[in-house]
Amino acid sequence: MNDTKKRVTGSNALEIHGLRKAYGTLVALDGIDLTVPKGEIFGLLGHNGAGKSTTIECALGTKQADGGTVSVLGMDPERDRKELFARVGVQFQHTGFQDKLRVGEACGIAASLYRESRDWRELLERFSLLEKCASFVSELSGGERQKLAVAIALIHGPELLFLDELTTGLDPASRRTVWDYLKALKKDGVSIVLTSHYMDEVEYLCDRVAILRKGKIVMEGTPEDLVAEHNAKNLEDVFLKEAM
Amino acid sequence: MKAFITLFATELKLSLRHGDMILFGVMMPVGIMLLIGCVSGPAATALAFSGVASVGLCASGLMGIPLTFAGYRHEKILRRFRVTPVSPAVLMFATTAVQTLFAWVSLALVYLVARLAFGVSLAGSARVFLATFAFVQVSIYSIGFLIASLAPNVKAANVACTIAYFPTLFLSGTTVPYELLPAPVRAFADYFPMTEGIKLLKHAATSGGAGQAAEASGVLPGFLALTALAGVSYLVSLKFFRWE
Repeated sequence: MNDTKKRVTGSNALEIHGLRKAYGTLVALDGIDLTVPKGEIFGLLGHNGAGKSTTIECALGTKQADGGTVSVLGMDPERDRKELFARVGVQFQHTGFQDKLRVGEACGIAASLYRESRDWRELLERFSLLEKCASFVSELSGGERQKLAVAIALIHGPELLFLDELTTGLDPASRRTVWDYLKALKKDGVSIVLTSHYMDEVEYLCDRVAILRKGKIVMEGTPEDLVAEHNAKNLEDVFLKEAM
Repeated sequence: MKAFITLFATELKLSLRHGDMILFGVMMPVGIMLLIGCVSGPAATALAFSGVASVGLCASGLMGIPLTFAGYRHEKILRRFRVTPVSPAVLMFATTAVQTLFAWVSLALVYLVARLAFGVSLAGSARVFLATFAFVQVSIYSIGFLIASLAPNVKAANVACTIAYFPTLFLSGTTVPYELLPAPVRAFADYFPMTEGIKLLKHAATSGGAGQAAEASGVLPGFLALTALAGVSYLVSLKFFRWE
């Protein structure tokens, strides 16, 4: 991303312009433009392979984009890495942990990476994981691992959260717990960019959404507007019509 | 520093839980020293000391470091560190420090066994011997970093480690004294970096420092070869290393 320039904008959490990425001959992102104002919960939707995770990874600098500009909290994710990630929390689709690592140790490591961090025991309690503190991460269920990944992304009290398929594998009660927590974070002014395949989740949480198809944004707006525009019953209908 | 200390302590705990390094890096060389001491005379035991003391270097440098890094990359643990203010390099430093600790504890215990049980003593300067050991460590670890950087996946890293570790263990003079090997096997073993390392260590143990001894005894080519190996390997590792 050689043409990335620092854009100091006061009101936007994320700005992406003309983002392009290809894997060999496969075009994953074909000129993505996105703006997420501060304090907003933004949903990035699309079928598997539509480019959601690649957008997030290019925005974070963990994948090198072929072109375009990215500004996260007014900073360049590659050049201002240290300062930026002190203020940004990330939960990837797949979160790996060292073998034989205990839940408490994973949180202890995460807390040690930041100058200031919140009490991770409170976070574990909030996500019903405190009793698993001494368990090996490998012993957790898929849903519990996902909740741990979200808790770790929150450990330093970030201003902006990236959550890639945050509730995949979670039972309904756990999903509701996570949703309520994210709503509370939004009230505190935290911005959130998430991807999800659950349209009920997106409708409940997101202020605005963008639908990706083959690396391009084909629709963008509030869930209510998109549903009304398409004269559809719900967002899932819109998604099935537009994302294919 | 907080992050390094936490990571070092956690990585040490993980290594102790796994037990591989305790078994192959510490207990095995101590056992071999005891065995050689029991079945050999004082001169042969003293001659074998430098080789047996290097078993910990083989285990940590040719197995521990490359397999850990390849595994952490495969599990996307290094990627997770990339979205924090702390570089994943700190995790790698902490892991290397743990492996170094095992190698030096192994050296200390092998020496104690050789000294207390069989009366082996260093004829040369202890300081020079330790400096030579550190030099050999830097050189042997460069092979581990090279494997970690070039192996495309964990399976390939496993194969490369096996190819590097077992012939080194049996033919370079660590477990079976080099002097007992048939001439053709010795000629083959002379191509192994550890064979040269053990020659330097033997020289340091019986006379002077690595550089000084080299001039006197013709081990200078080995000294230079290990220096070149380390230089090239670290450069290639840096060039080809991937976080993911």
